Amino acid sequence: MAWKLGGDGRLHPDPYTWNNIGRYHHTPGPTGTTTDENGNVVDTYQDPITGGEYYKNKVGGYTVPYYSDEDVEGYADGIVISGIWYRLPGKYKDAGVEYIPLYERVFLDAVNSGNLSSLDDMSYWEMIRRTDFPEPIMGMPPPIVPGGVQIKALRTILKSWSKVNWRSVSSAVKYHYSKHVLNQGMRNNLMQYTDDALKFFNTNKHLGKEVMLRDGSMGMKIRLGPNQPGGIFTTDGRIVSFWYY
Amino acid sequence: MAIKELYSEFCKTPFPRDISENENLADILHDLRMYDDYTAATIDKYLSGVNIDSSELVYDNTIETQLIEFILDANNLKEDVSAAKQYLQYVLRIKEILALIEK
Repeated sequence: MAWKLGGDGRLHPDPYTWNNIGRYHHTPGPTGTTTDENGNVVDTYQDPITGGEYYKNKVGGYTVPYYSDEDVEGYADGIVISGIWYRLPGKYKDAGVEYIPLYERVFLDAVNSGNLSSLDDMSYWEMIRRTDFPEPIMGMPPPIVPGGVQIKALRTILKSWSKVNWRSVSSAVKYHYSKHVLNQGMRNNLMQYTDDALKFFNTNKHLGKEVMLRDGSMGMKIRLGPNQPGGIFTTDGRIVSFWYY
Repeated sequence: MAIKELYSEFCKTPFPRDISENENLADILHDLRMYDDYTAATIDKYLSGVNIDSSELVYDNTIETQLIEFILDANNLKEDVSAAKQYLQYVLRIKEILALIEK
């Protein structure tokens, strides 16, 4: 997903790629014009979910969804992309428009594209870890993005892995995901990888052999044989490493 | 090549697959997994500016030695030796990065 710095000094998603990963799809073209709070003439679009009208602001010749402080609840600190720090909205008050925080969109896009390196590792992971994820609003279906990833699965990842020697759980996950999934030519997303590891542990833990992990704690290795999945886990079942082959 | 670039290249290297029935080699591969995880985590910390003891960045040649012995052992099957050579290639990548850091 592409991002643009809006005239309000905040980062906004490129509306065209935004549409490709979200459940928020606007009609192909503007349905009219209106005047925003600053007196600017802006295009209006029909909201496919609510059927109502919403408008977009034009910033520097580039059309971006218009968000004001009234539209969002809180801020999710910020995010570093290509060395630039951006402040991001927390979540949108209007559930009919969008309730997935932008930083989760960044995350999901990175996961689904398999390109985690596009993000600054610590800042966005730490931000996700610190933040309470919004629950789906009653009556609305859970958000689904390409690859079948659900927002709530983000929590599962961070609590399912052990950092052992790594500076953070996120660094550990990123490394193993690259080594054992992406670099093996597989396209499983991070949620699927984590889920497979947990299922593997629960099915095969009786076959595990005790090992000492590098930080001195006890763990368990499970190896079924050549060309088969295997893993290293903490004794309470958190993932240290997991491989498919 | 700079350390960061070399490490980045290394991160893109697939971990060798577990392809051997040989129990001895499987044990060495397990040690390699543990060593890989440990060194990658240590290098990652080093590159992130985390203060770490320099001794943690010294290459441990135990696995390399075990693999060479395995490769040279005429009793081992050809396919197992071939697998051991892949594992050796991988551990030598780790050695290369640590040697560059040590400089």
